[in-house]
Parts: sequence; structure tokens; C-alpha cells
Amino acid sequence: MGVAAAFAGLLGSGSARAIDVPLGNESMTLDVSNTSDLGYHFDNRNTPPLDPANPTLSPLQRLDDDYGDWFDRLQVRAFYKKFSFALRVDSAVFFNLLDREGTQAYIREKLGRDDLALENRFGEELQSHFGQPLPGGARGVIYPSKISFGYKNEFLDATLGDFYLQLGRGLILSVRKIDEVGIDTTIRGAKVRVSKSQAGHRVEATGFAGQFNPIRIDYPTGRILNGSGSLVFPGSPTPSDFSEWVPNPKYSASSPGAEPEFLFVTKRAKPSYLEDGVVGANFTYGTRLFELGLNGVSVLRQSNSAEFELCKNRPGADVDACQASYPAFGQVGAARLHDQIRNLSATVNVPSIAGVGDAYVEVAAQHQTQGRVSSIGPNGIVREPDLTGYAVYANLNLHQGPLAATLEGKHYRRFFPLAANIDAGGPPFGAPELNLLAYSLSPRAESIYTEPIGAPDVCISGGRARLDYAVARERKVYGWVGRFASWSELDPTNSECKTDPALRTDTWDTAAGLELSSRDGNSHYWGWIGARLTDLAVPTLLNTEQTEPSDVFYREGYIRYDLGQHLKGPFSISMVGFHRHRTQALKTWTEGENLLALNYNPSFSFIFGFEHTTREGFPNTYFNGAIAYRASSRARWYHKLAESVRLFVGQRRAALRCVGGVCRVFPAFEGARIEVVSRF
Amino acid sequence: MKTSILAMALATLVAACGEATPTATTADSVDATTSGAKAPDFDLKTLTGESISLSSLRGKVVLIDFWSTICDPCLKEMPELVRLYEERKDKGLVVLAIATDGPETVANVSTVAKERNMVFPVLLDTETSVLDRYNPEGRLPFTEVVDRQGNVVLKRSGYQPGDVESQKSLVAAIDAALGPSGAPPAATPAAAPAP
Repeated sequence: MGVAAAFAGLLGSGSARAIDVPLGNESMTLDVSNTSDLGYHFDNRNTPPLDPANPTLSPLQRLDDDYGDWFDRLQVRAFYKKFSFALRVDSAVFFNLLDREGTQAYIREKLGRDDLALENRFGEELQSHFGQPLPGGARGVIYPSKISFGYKNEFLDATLGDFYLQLGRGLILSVRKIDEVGIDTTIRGAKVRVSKSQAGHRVEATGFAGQFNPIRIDYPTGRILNGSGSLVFPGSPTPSDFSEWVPNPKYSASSPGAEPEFLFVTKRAKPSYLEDGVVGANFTYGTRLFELGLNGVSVLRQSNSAEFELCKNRPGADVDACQASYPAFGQVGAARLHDQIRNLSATVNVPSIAGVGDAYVEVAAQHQTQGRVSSIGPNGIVREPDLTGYAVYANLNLHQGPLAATLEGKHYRRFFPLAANIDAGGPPFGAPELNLLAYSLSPRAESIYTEPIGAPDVCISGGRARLDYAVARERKVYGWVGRFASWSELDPTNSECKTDPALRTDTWDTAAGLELSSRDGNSHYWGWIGARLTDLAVPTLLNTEQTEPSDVFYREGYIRYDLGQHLKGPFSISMVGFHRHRTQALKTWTEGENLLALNYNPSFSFIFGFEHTTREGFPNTYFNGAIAYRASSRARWYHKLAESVRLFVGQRRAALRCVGGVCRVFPAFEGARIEVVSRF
Repeated sequence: MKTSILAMALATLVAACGEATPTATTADSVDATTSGAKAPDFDLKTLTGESISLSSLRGKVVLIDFWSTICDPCLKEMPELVRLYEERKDKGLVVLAIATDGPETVANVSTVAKERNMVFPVLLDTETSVLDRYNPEGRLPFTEVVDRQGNVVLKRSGYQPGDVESQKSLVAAIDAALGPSGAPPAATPAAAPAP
């Protein structure tokens, strides 16, 4: 592997730190770090028992067991005078995967017979999920995920290559790192930002253009995202054709020599991701009293839906070939029905209100046009109609003495996230795990510890008030209450934002917390408790088990805690946990996790974890343990080689996990992993 | 914050901040004393609407701290940073607290800054572009100490309350950079902006 070679080269160089390389009168700073992560998956217990009435097997539920993976990220940064260079190379290797013979044996063992169609589905899933074949039966990918050249002086900040960007509070554009949920999206193209300050006035303008660049390796699931081969992304993963044996429909058992029993056919490769173009600008004017901003973004999706329909309608057309030549994703969702989206917003920021607060308001508009073509026929082209929406978000913070208040309000109508152009369908070429990818993120105001209220941008109004009170320096209490009316939680496809009472849900979102710390700061006791109560505006029968209509949509409660106690000398003990309980449509479940750690500062932590769930179809209990090591100095070469090491052994449940309000479902894991971070 | 699959598996076990599940045990800290490397320049807006660039602070000792309101270890670390700053600000120490909150939580930054008594400049890196430049692994909290000449003299990631050794290293690096008298060298071009 190239990464391994580069890594070995670095080790061989004996490099001991961020390096200053003399260049003329100046020096170039070189910063290299590498994260390597090796794991092995055992049976993660997500395969349900075979249904005797309808015996069938799910390829993914078997393919995610009994294999190993190795992920590596090499990051290089160089800085010289006002210039910078950044390169990130990502690689993934999957080994001991189920091969053809193994698949046949597994199907025979489970079903008691051969099943060529099922065997092919296993092969298709394997190929689309785990990348290209490598020697020794392994699969994987290596590619330059981020590369950029930058120049920055007092007035100008220019980037060619990958850059992060957010306009306003992310309503109309937000591409950034949210690594914990596997998101690290940039725009690859060009960005120029100029700014000038004089006599208390400041002007800033930004222009940019390029194509969105999500990470092509989904670290939580190992799914490889295959693009369409855009020239902007040389070396990025692309799909490869899939060849398989299929039964020959012309074969006859009575005359076996006339036709072969099986045919070797090749399915044309299709991408799971189409690279979206973007162009936009920002202009900001500010003084010490206020700041005004104007933002505009135009997203150009390539959907190929019209070309695909034309191709398909040709006499004798091969639909599979049409899909390969003009990939058009079927399961696009309401946020992916238009190929041109224009977002505009205006912002007002007041950084200080008489020294006791600050305020922010953003008003955004969205126009979606070039709707997906659903058919081309005698009556002409049938497209999704244009859609226009808007969003208003406001935030006021007030502080006085030990009291602080945070007020947020939002009013969103037909305002959709910039969903990435992902094929959310199944195998052989879909990538449903990446369905959450979006290039914008709206402020939501509700709790960030559980999932947002359904389809949160489409049709919702509401707000939240939070109050913090510092009883003393070591004691704080806080609480919030939010109230929301949504017309898209019950029906996420309500893209026209019909405000029919039958579609409305009313939510109370509330929580309270307490933070206590010891005077020396070495021990702490933090706790949160929250609840969400959502009612239907019109009582409804939500499932067949209900005998009477109910106005209760769901009830959810959760508790979080974070406790740390200094014991003696370098020893401390800590415990963290999160537990939630939910009732919806007559079904109730509880899930959560608890971790207990003994810390020997500064180098070691020994951690024991326990997870539980009562969700239907999942094992109830999960146990795990981990050892974390960190180098306490950088005096020796091996401290840099293994700046931190983490070993994890055990089970984790499949669960929704939220980071700062961004939520995704993580698959179950059972096995062992070791991660080594090196910094040179 | 970090990207790797192990972090996902370990989510709650070690203190990569803003994890999908509760955080706290911060087995993640690393003291990483470096020397000589120039700190890359950046330019960010403060909560009060001003712009601050690192290069404008040449001649000061700058402690750069990447944090976020959803990172529990970051919040636990804050009283120590406040104490460090208050004890050494007259000697030329500047603390820049760079908040990496995204759209979901950036509204809370000013409240948290006030209630944690963050009397130093709080900068907003909502794009995560400066975070990526300094700390591509994305771990929080992440601290760098930059000397008066603009060289990085210490890096530290993670925070564990009661980690005396790590704290000693941080204090020693700051004091060494400030010098015995705390007096800046003769050619000090800039002063720290008001918080």
C-alpha cells in the first residue's frame, strides 16, 4: 500500500517532530500525522433466525461478520511563508471476506440447497461495499481524499483544492468536519476571500466554485462511495463492472446440448454518488455594533434523469446499460427531486446588546428547479414541479450576573437540506448508509441529544428558551423548554408544507441539568435529564393494535451523567452514561450505555462498558472493555510513533448516535480493534 | 473529535469530544512538546465581532485552545485555562479559545463563554478550517502554545481533570516561553486585543 510505504519512509527517516526545512531565508514547516486502525469483526448478532415459511438470507447481515479491516489516514501539512499545502490520503483494506466458495457453502448450510441468484446478490454486495479486489482475496481502496494549496496575507485568503465553508448559520451551506458521525465534506475547487478593515468598518467578500467532496470511505460501516469519475477527483473510487453466471432462459433440460445452462453476463458499473457542482458568494459588512451578511449558493446536481428516460425509451434499449451510461438514482427522497437549487440568505448579527447580550437573525429563501424527469412520452416531459421555500431563524442571548438566557426561534417552510446525490437504494450499487449526507445544516433549537423532530427543515415552527444559573463557581444548574409545531414529522414527504391539522404534531422538548465540581477541579458530578412529549393535533389510529384514536404520538425521556472522582495521586475514576426510554404506537423500548473507567494519569485508562436495549429484534445486553494509552512525553521516537494507542474488545449495539444534533445509525459491532495515532 | 472507526467503537470509552454518546474519561490527552515549527497563521472573528489573526499577536505567548460547547472535557478544562490566563496575562500570555461548534450549537457559545468566565477572546471556527489546519485528527480539546517568535512549543490533546503531570508540562512550557521576567523581547510589535 502506498500509505504503508509512506509511513515506513517516515519511520525510516527518524523524523522526530514537526520539521522546519530551511528554504532560503525562511523555513518550511512540515507536519505529518497518521492514524492507523486495525480491527476484526466477529458475529455482530444482527442476523435473524431463518423464517421456515420464507427462508431467505440477507447478504449484508452475513458479510458484516467474520472479516478484518484496516483503515489508515495520512495527513501532511506544509507551511512556507504565506503559502500552505495540505494532503490527506485515505485507505481501507478489507480481508478474510467471504469468497465465492464460502458463499456457496454458507447458502447450502442455511438453505440446504444451491441458490445462484442469492449467490450473485452476495457477490454484488461484496463488490459494491468493499471496493476493488486486492491481492490475496482482499478488497479495498486508497485515494487522495483532500488536497489543497493556499495563500493568505492580511487582505487575501485564497485556496485551490479542498476547503471547508459555512455561510451564516449553515441554513444554506455548511460543509465541515463532523468526524464522529463519519462526515468530513469539503468543496474541491477554488475559493477567494478578501477582507479590509478601516476606522471601525470591516468589509469581507468571498467567492467560490467547485464540486462537493465527501469522504468516500464511510468509516462506521466500511461502505465505499463510488463516484462517476469526475476529473476534479482523480484517483477517487469508481465502480467496476460486475460479472456473474446467470441461468440461461433458453436452456432446456430435455436437450441439454442445445444451449448452455448458464450464461456469463457482465453488469455495467454504476456509481453510488454523483458529484454535485456548487458556486456561491458571500458579502459581509460590519462595524463594532452590528454585522450584515448576504449569502448566495447555487447547487447544480447531475441527475441524468432525462437522458436515462430517453435512452430507456429507445427501441430495444438495454435498461441496465442505460442506467450505467446515465446513472439516475431511483430512491432520491423529497430533498433530491431537483437538479438546480438556489439558496439565498441575509443575516444580521449584533455581537453586543448593551454589554448584556447578543442577537442573530437569518432569513433564507430556496428555489428548486430542473425537477427530476419521471417520464418522457407522447405528452412530453414530465418533471417534478419547481418548489420555493423559506426559513427564518433567530437567536437572542442575554447574560446578567449569574444568569444567562438563550432564546432560539425558527420558522421553516418547504426549505430542504442540500442532500448529497447519493444512491440510497440497495445492492449492487447503492450506498444507503450515506443517505444522511447533506451540504447544509439548519439550526434546530430542539435537544441535540436525541434525533431532531422529523424532516426538520421542511415544515416546522417553534422555539426554545434556556436558562443557566451559576449558583457558585463550582455549581451550575440549567434547564430549557421548547415548543414546536411540525407538519412534516408525521409525513416527511409533505414537501408542499400543507398545514392540515391532521398532519400536525405538537412537541414539548424540555431538559434540566446540574453541574457540580470540587474546588480543586479534580472531581466533577454532572447530570442531565430530559423529555420530549409529542402529540397529534388530531387523534389518530397509528397502528392496527390500537382500539381507539389517540393524540399521543410518542413520549421520550433520557438521562445523561458524567461523574469523575479523583482518588489519590495519579488515580481517578470516572463514569459516564446515557439511557433513553421511548413509547410510540403502543411499543415501548429502553436503551443505553454505561462506562466505568479507572485512570492512571497521564498514560493509561482501563475502561469497562455495558450497553442494553429492549428494542425488538436486537440482543439485550452488550459488554466491552478497552485500554487507552497516551504518550506522556515526546522524548523518544516511539512516543511519536505511538502518540496514542487504543485497544477495544467486545460488543457494541446498533444504535442511533447524535453529535451536536447530527444523528445517524451505527451498525452493531462485535470484535476487537486497535488504533494507533502517530504524529511526527 | 476524530474520524476513525475505532473512535466510533469506543465512542463513550475515551474522551474524543462531541462523541455520539456521553464523553468524559479523557484517556485521550497527549503532551506533545515540539520545538521550532512555525504556527500557521489564521484569521477568525471573535464573539464580539472583531477579527483576530495569530500574526497580529507576534511578541506575545499565545495559548490556542480548540473547544466546543458539546465537548465535556473542554468545559472541564476551561477553569484551568482561565486561571492560567489570569495569573499570566500581565506577563504577556494571550489565550485564544477557538469554538468549533457547528450550526446546531453555535448559539450556545456566548452563553457558555460567559458562564465559564472565559475572559479571553473566544473565536468562532464554524467552518472547522483552522481546526483542520492545526489538528487534522480533530480531537478536542486541543491546545497549542506558541512562543513570542511564533513557534509552536507545545501541543496537547484531550484533558483529564486531575492530570497533574500534563498540567505541569503545560505550565512549564508557557512559563519558559514567557521568560523569567515575563518581559517581551525588545522587538514586540503587537499587543493582545481586549477580550
